Amino acid sequence: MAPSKTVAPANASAANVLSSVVNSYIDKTPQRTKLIDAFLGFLVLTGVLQFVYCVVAGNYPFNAFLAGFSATVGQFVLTVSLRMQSNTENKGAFEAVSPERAFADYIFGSLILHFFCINFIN
Amino acid sequence: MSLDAILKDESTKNFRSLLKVVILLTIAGAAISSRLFSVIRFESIIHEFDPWFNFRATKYLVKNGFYGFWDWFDDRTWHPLGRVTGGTLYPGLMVTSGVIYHILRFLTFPVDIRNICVLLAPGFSGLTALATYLFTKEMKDEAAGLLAAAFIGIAPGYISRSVAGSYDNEAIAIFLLMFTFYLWIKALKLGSAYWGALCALFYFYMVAAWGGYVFITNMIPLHAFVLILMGRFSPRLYVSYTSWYALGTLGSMQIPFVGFLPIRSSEHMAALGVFGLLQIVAFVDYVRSQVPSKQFQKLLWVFLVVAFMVSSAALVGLTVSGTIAPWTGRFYSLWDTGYAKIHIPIIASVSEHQPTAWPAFFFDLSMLIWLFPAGIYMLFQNLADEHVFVIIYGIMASYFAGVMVRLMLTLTPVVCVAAAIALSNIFDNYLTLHRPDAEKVAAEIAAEEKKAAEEPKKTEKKEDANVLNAVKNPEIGIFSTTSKVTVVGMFAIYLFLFVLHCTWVTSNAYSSPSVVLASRLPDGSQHIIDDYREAYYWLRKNTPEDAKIMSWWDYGYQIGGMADRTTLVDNNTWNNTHIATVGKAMASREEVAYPILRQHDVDYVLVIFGGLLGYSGDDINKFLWMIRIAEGVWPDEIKERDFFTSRGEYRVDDGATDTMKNSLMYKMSFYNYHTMFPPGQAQDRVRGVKLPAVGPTLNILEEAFTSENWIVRIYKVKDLDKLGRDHASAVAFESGKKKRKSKLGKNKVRKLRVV
Amino acid sequence: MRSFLARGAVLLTSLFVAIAQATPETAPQLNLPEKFAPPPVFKNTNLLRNIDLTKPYQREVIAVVVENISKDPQTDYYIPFDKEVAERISYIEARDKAGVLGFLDVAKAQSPGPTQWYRVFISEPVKAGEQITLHIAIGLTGVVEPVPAEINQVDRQYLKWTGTQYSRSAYVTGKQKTKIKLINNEVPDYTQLEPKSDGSSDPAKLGSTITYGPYEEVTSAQLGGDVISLRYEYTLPVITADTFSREIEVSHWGGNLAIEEKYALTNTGAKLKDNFNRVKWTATNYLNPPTAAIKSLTYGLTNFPLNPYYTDEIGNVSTSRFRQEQKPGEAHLELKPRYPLFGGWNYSYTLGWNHDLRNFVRQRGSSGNYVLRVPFMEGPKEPMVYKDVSVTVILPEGATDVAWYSPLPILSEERFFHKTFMDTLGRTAIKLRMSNVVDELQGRELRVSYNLSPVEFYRKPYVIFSALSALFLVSWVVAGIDVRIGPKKEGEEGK
Repeated sequence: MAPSKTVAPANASAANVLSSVVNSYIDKTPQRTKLIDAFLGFLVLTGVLQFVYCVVAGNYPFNAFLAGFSATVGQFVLTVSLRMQSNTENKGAFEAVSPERAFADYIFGSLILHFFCINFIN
Repeated sequence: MSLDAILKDESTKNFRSLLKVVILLTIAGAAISSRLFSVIRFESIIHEFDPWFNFRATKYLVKNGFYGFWDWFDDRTWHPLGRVTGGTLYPGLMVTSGVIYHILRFLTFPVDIRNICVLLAPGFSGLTALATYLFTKEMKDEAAGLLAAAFIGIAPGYISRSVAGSYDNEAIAIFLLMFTFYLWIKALKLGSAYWGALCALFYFYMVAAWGGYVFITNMIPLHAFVLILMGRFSPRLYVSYTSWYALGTLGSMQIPFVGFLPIRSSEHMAALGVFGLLQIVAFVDYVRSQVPSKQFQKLLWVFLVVAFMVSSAALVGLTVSGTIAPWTGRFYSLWDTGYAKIHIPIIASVSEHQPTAWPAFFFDLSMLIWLFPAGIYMLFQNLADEHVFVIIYGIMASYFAGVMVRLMLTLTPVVCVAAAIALSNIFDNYLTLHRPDAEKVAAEIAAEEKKAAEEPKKTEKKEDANVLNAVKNPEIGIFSTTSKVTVVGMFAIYLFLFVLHCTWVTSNAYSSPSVVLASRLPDGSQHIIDDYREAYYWLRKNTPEDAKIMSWWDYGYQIGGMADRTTLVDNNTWNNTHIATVGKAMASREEVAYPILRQHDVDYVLVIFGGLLGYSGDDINKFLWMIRIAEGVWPDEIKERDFFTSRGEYRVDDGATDTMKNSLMYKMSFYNYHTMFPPGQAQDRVRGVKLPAVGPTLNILEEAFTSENWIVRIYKVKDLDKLGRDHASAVAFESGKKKRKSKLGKNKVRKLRVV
Repeated sequence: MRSFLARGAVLLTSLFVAIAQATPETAPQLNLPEKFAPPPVFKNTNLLRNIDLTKPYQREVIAVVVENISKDPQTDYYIPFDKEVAERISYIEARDKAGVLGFLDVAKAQSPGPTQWYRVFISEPVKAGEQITLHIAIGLTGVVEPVPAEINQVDRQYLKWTGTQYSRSAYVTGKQKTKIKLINNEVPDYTQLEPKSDGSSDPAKLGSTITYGPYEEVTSAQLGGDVISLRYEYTLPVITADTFSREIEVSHWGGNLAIEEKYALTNTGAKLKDNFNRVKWTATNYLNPPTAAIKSLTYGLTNFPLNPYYTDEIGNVSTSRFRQEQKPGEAHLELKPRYPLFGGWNYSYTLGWNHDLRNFVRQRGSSGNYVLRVPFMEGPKEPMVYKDVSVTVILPEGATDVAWYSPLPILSEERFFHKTFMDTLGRTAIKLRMSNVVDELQGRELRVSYNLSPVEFYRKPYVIFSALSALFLVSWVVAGIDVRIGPKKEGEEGK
């Protein structure tokens, strides 16, 4: 990762930095990863909605709330893991896990996650 | 073919695998057979106290099926409260036995459930050896793995809780502990969500099996935290930890006994905290890879620190406000060791919860205890992520083992691993035919000296073996065969002595069923003292089915298991007030105790008395704890001080205080005991004192049964007197004494008899 | 070896005879009308009734000289009982000591009246005017009760027996006498009847024998005469086995006969009035006086018993002694219950041992037909009454054509398959139920014959072999399946 020497003062270029981050994201990330990111955004939204509902409408039955919330959190981290593992830049970190293997792991983890959630929802 | 060729050549790979399998099977065989002493000496019986409850629960599970077991409300314990057993136990052990039972039945082997329960622990010890082998293999190599498996197979620290007949949660929990740790290390090394999910599944099994799962819940986050602090955050860490945490925590909440604790109690907050921290660190790491600006980096690191502090403050605030429960008594007493004695006497009274004495370390671990620090040091040489884990595990386990004797059990696996690594390193260097080439070594030394002379400024040479190896392959080794033979011979002898020690300790110290006592007759043959079972069987056969038995909580599970009768309190000790009530009844005068007995529908009272045999585990010796526990709830009525003489002694003979002599426990223990001896010579062999010539009288109880050696004494509670008298005067009347007039009152006029 | 063959031959022939005879429950029903009265064809010239009360049940032997007072040869001799009394009969047998009467068979009659009739069938008809001597042995339970019902721990135990003055008969009895034998001389109370014609008292007590009679010319209408009762000291414990089950398992592969007996005992003697005092018990035990408590049970096992085990519901009981006797093949086994059983106390235990199968099973012919001959019941030597008895015989897997002969009348028979280690079909098993059995009847032989073809004999090895082969085949196939993810690299050996 070659550093580009932009030595702009911090606060003044906050907006610039942010926009450059967003632009580089749109340009550099492959289509597959953007799909995963969209799913991640959806999961975050679902989690927040559930939490707000719990705060507003009370938390009985608590296990149902926990099951749903844990489903979103668990799926989120599994998807992030998949994203990390399928990112070709990170290949050096993951010697044993090819992207195909990462997807198989993802499915395995999700199955277990949802099995537990269904059992917990009651 | 030289030895090295055999050990490293590709063509002998299959032979080596076969050898590994054979060695592991032999280790499993040794582990199983060294745990069978009590089965051979006595019989296949469940030992001690807690296993009897697990056995009863397993029998219930096998008879009523899984759903019946899950919804079980046990009304034969904690009368009249009952116990929601299905929701207040860790079902892993019973379900494991039930599954094995059904599998064997399906394969047409009708093994009795009792034999499955008795032999489950030895069976799983073989599996623990396998799990330790796998774990150590990840640390170093297979040779160290085999050594570790051999050590854990026979180490007394583990045997003490997994001998045949010890049907307790630790029997399967230690296997699950090591296997979960192995899966965690594997997940961390590979960075695979599959291994992380497997780790979560076995973690779920561990949560189902033992309350000590909290150890894993804190060890893995601690490891992750230390790795982050060391700057070793990597995507592999993120993948493995998050997949473990998300699935594992969700899984652990499926067990009713754990319920919502993972998000509510302090013991689980570390895992949640590290989870949050990892998200932040990963996010920062990701952003950093996108934006290479140094200043932005600094800002983001500041953001990271601030976020961490805010979340910790939130955590502390929630704990203080009570939303998150503080550390529960059992685990809090690990940090504040003086806490339990003052506040929770029940926890303090258990002998397993006492601090460990120094000899216990050597007794339970033999030579491994001095190889352990050497192994930890060697792990520092090659500090990969997994080695950090063993170091942390070793430190924490050492602390906990020092606090509580019972936790020697969690120390034993890491000691075996570290000692195996140390020993394996020694053998790697000394047990090899390879001899370094003298000329090459001389040349290298000369080259180094030249380089040192040329470069005055020494570059920082990291003692990192990886870097060294990458630069050059130095010629290292031991020249002299004599030193090799000496060292290897010494350690061979040490290992041999280790095996001798372990077998001796197992045979003498840890193989007693404690339900059956044994002694030797003058002619050398074994004499079995079976008083417990004699009394429990009498209870089982000669009392009504719904009779209620009151005894101290130690024997509750045994009475439920062997005598199959309803008890008032048992080893679960979930209700302190109920136990204090029983303690109060035992420690009070008969007039005070009788209403308590009637209130709780007690039909029989059972006490253990060791005075005739010299059996020191009897109730008079435990009496002080009963008093203390009762005093905790009724400080006005029961005072510990009253049971001590004016000089501060705890006496049971003539010099005993009145409160002591009038207490129900004293009366029950020594009732009629003086008639066993010539007058005036009654002796209590445990306390070593002579008892008064006139024994105590009992008014509210009558003796129902005393076992052969007076160890168990059972009394029947008298019903209310038919003429409405109080029991003392009724008994006095029966024995022909005149009813003594009460001495009170100046204005009391002597009543004339009305004819 | 030769003696085995000889014994085998003799016993096989008797076995043929025995199996050829109808077993008691397949005997033709004897139905009698309600107001049945047997024809007065016999007269009991002289009747001596010996009642033995040395055990807690009544053993009665009636020795009667019977004369045929009719003009025709007769074969049926009837014995009446009260229905209520007859329910407590444990055994009733007729013997012919002189050996001239051929075969005697006692059959229980079905009739709706208040009298239970038993008919003794004499195979050699008694000619008119001829006199024969019959010995009828009757075992009757439920005739004693402890009086006083509650005693102290060191007191003596007294039992009260109730019976009848006369021996009830369907025919006129010319002269009869009842002799009651007791365990010792202590008889504090016994019914005094009217003095005899010569002035001497009735009954007469001589040591431990009490004689009532002789009585002249008692007709059948007088039934039993007066009710008499004795209260006597009984120095042994009164043991009742509420349930007793015996399981006999035959294993051809192991060459082993395994016997397991389960008992549920109660002491039905006098109960304890005061509390159980361990001090007094230990003190008096040294002298070993007679006591009403059950202290131990003794077994005399025969035919080379091996490896006995003594357990109960909660584990092994270590208070037992097993030693071989002088006579080869005999062993003495003494069991002590965990605690002494006083009146009203219960105890249950399991006792098991093994035998070499060759002593019990013989092959008949070469067609795979086997005969098992085993004692029907082996219990302790102590006098006992067994209320509910069940005997189960488990034969090898695949045994067919099972036929049995039981020496005692049975209540019910059950055939089922008993599944145990590595069984596919289940082992053929029969379960016979009886009630009200006394220890006198121990040792009688039960015979079972069955067919076991060589094919069935090898069933188990075949099954195990094919199961393991299938397992190996499946694992070989599964190991060859490729489940790798991702492309296979050159030279890679797989995961």
